[in-house]
Amino acid sequence: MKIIEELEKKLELSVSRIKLAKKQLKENESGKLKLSFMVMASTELCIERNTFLVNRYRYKLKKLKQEDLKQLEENEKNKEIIRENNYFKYQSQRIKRTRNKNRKEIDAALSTLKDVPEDIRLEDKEIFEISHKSFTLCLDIHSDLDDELIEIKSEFLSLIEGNFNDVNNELKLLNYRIPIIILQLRILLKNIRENIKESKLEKYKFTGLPKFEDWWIHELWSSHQAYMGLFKWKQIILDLCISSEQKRAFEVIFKNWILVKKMLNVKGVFAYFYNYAFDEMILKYAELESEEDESNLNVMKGIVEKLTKKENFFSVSDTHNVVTPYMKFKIEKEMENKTENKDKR
Amino acid sequence: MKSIIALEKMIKDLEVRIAISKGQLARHNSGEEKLSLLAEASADNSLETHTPLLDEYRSLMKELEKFEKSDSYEHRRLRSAVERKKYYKYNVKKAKKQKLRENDERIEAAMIIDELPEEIILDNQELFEMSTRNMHQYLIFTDDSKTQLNDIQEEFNTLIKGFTDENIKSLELLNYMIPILIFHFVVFVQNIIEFKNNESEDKIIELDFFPRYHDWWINELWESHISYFSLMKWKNDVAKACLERKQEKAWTILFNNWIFIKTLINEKSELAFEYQYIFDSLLKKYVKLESELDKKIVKNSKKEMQTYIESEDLLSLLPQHHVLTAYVKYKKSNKKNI
Repeated sequence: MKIIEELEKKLELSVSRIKLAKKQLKENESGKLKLSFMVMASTELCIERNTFLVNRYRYKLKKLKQEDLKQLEENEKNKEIIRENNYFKYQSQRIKRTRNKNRKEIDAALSTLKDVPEDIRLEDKEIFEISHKSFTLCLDIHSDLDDELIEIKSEFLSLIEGNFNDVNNELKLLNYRIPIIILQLRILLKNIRENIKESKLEKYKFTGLPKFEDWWIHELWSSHQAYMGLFKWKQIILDLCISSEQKRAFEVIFKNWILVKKMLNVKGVFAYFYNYAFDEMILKYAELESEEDESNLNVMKGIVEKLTKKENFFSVSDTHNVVTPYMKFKIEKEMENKTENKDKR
Repeated sequence: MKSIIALEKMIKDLEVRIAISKGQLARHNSGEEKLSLLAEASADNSLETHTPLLDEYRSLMKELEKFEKSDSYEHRRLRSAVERKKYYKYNVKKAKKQKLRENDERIEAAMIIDELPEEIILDNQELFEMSTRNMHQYLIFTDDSKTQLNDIQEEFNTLIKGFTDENIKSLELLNYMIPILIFHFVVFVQNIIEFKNNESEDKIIELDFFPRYHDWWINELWESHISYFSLMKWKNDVAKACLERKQEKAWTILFNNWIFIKTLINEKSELAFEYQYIFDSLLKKYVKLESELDKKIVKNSKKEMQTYIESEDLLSLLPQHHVLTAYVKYKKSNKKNI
């Protein structure tokens, strides 16, 4: 700042003037130099004047310097804000270019960035830490699935809306179950297809699920043929699964599906609309279809008959055990209860 | 906001680490467990770096919570998904000991989705009406039916309250279905007792109506044929003991609902043992429906079943059998209309 420089010069000048005047007066006193009365008076006046000036300049300088410091601070602050704003403004671009992270880590970080409200500013490091945790906990997967479930559920509910009455009201309890079964089968199909693509199993052709037949459900628990039809149908789908994880999942999905289908079947005509909505939705989302052509149905019946004749009905599953882990648990519990009761007595 | 759940977990992890270091140092200082120089330095270092980090995470959490409560519906489902998946994984690993492909994670997540908290809200009146309207066709309900259902529901809720974390606390849908089913069983048996009392002069109050079932039938249904035949025979034996057509029809519904619930719980294996046991115990208490726990009897009955299967006509069908069921006809006509 110029004004400070000028003041400093003036101050210097006044200080040197005072010095000079003081020196002259000292020499006059010691007799080394003889000053006239007039000169002496003017020298004294000079000291007085310049002392006044020096104080004034010093005061001014002090004030000016303080202001300058504030200004500097202000400037620095502004710069910092700009830097910070830029840091967050270009955060996603910067994350995308992070060198020591792979594609997946970067995608996860970007998803975290999107997830957190804009007003919360996280540093890159924190974003990577949170997204790493989210990834290991599969939070993205869980929350995507939840979104899908909500979508399926609302579509299903809109299909059955307005069809309930006193007699079939109880079906509403299944409203929670059905969308889950549809979602699970949908995910399983996607997974089978992904696995085929990934492992380049081109020779393995997956053309979808075989059709099921309604009379199998209708006569289950009455005709053994119906059970056999369902059993064989289930085996065919299990063979289409590639990983054991998929097989395990299908076992569960199948059981859930057959339980609900049978329940709806038992309700008979009161549940037709509901059963229909379930079938339509599972067809749309998971490509599961029922056979409705009479001649095809009859052909299949013949096939199942032949299979029945060949089937060994005494064979049991690989993990067969009549004493199940649950039975063991139950026996233990019963023993515990018995001793407890004895103790009470 | 999923990040809340991630951050929550990060905080928990840090808390554990800090607690471990603190514990080590405390035992070292008290002389209980001497640490090597290196180990001591490492514990010190861990405390030094993790404590400020924990503070940082905690304050970040406070910030995030200003935008979204950490106990929102979405968060409760996510948190529970993370917890459940841990056990699902554990069970799979125990069963198969193989590494999962990365995209199998999605299947795993889908398979536990029915265990996540659901917001099913039904009041007692609604539940009671739901449970009686349809069954009215087959069973006679008395004036105190409503109290009966309420009592059963309360008892069931009290019993499942005391579960520990590893258990499945609730399969929300089943929490509603189970009391209804037990209630139906009670009314069913009461109806039979009533019927018997009307016909004979010796009045009875209790009835051993159900033969014992075997757990493995449910465990291996759709895997071993014998279990299907056993269940079918068991179902038919009960049906034969019914005294009128309406009771038989009611039994068909009860049987299907019972299998429904038993299979769903059974699928959750040891996680739901407690839950299943409560269900079984209540049925035993109210209607003496119970499973055979004598291992010898269970083993022997398998042989009996083989004779039964040999005597069965496997190709016989329902008298009114038709491959085109009434429902398929409805479906076809519905499609035509569209």
